[in-house]
Amino acid sequence: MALDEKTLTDLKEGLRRCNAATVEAAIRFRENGDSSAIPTIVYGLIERYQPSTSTVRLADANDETRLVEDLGLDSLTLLELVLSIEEVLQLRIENEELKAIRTVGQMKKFLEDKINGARSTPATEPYNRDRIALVLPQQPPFLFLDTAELNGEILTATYTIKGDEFFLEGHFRGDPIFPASILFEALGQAACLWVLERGPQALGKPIPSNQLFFASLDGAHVYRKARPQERLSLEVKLTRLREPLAIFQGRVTTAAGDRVAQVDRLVLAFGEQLPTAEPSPTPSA
Amino acid sequence: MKRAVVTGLGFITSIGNSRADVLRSLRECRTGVEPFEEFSGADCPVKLAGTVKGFAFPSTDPEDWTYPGEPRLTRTQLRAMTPNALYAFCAMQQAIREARLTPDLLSHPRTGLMCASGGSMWLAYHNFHTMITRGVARCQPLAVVNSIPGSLYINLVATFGLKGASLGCSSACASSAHALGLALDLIRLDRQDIVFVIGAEDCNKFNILPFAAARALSVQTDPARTPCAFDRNRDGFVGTGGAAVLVVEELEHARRRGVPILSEVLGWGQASDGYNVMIPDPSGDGLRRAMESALSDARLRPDDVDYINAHATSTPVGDASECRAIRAVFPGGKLPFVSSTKSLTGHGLSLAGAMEAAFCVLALQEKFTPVSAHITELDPECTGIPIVTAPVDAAPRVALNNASGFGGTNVCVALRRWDHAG
Repeated sequence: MALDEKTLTDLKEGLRRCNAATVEAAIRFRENGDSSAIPTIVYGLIERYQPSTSTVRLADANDETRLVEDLGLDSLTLLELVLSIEEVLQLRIENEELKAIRTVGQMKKFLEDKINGARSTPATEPYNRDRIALVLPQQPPFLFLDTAELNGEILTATYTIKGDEFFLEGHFRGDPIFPASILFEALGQAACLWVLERGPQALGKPIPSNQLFFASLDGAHVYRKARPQERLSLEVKLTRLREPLAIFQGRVTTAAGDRVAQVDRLVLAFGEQLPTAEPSPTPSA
Repeated sequence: MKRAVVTGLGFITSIGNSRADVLRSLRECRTGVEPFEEFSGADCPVKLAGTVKGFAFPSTDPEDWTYPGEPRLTRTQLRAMTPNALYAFCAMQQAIREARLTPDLLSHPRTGLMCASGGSMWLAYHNFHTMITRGVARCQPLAVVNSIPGSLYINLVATFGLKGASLGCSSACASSAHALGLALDLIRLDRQDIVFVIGAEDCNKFNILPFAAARALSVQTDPARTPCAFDRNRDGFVGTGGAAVLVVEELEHARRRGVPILSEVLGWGQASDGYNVMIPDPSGDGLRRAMESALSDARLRPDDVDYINAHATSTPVGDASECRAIRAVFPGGKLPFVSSTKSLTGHGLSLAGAMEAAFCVLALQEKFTPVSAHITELDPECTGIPIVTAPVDAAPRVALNNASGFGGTNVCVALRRWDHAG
């Protein structure tokens, strides 16, 4: 798929101190996802950052050549290199992952694995409440996810009704029932988590957490009351992602598998230019 | 108590990038102010700046920047720099050469720096813009270093391998005057043998134009007429950037090295107005007390003073308040000559104190009194004060340098010609 003009300009601007072969490889990667372009990109970027004082020239490097000791990249230069790689390849290298990369070969293999791995979308580490709170704009006491797990286009989450949620005092007095609106809010938060964690990679652009909003809800049903101490299982599944909308199906069940609630179509809107009117439902949804 | 002398100077200023050029500009009254391209456009009411020549910053990427002279910086030295740090790097080279500092002496636990800069608003803006529009993970690893005012000392200490004291002062337009005062104290208390005093500022719309909102900037367009400190029709200051460096050294240390001494730093004083966040106390009371404190610290009587390099930025309120302070310190008898070199350079903000102290060193050593340029009609507020509106045949022995900043912070530094008698 050909890159749009702005993406191409940004890509070239980020690589303007690299040789032509690197730029060409980066465009090829971004257009076709061609992972055979990765070594050229990695070499080109290392060359751009390598100080003139380093003992080993890149032309003499092999897979065992060490980035710091041999090529002379200090730890900050390594971060500059990583930032450029992240921008060109549209991925994120975590601190833990970075620690394991010491040689040119490890860098190439890591990136190839990461890119090929990203396509097979393996299950990732489950999120705990703290990590969820780092990503979502919704914060306690208005955070209704305790754990979450991403698996491809599905996000599963749990929430245990504590009994001391502030609204239970009035909903209802002496008879606490988890409000239906909050059940759908919890599904909305699960959908937000998917969009913030997977959306940028899928769309190739950042989605600021303060530019993500609820848009609409269709086919929403509640089947059963949910009470304190019950552990709810939530699941949202992406049906469509196209700027500026992300559309999900969602359901809530008890730990025993009883249906609690369901929504056929939960729509989130994102970006600076939010749709002014509610989007009309599409027949396929 | 130890004594402190100046053994080296460095200049990247609107009126010259070397001692010789600056001296010629001061003697011949050559302005560094000119129309500034960054201020073009109908929506910008301010047109002039004291531009720094020989440098270019076409993008926020330091690898695109150009600067004069040798040595060249490596990419890893340059990548965390700001324009003000790059100016300071170049001025430091001159000061190190003049003070004949060897690498051993430069990188020594008894050699430090006291510096001042407002930081690079330009790069801070750029970095925050990246963070907000492109995401936290897209910011350059060193963005935080060039976004904070401390970037000046951070860069200089690392680039020059300094091992002694290091501090960035932040007191608005008095910052580098404070740095000089603190350097003097470090020498007197025998904590350091050599202290670089550095003032530096970017020169771009990001650090100058915010003052337009306070209506503090001159909107004149003719550099032959503005800035005009002490003139009745002054309408504000003209911004400038650059860097100035003084090598302040313990007297016996300098004598042992046999390095030429340029002048002595005799004493300093500081006092606050306690009046307003921006407007100086109209009575000049804070500045008066700073000047009296400096005279007392330097063991000088008022009539020992031959020349005052005034803070006078060419704002209506500031210059008048300074006149009242001067009149209060020198109530009668012989008054020292007074001039504002900002009328030639523009106002360097955090750079001003160090730059003008260095001008005082030149005036004392080269035996001339700088002129206060562009005065066509002296403000009646100056009555009785010998403002130097035209060249005078006077070789000052003792000079005071005033600096005042927002919040009513005032500093005065006393310097004396070095005449070998000691």
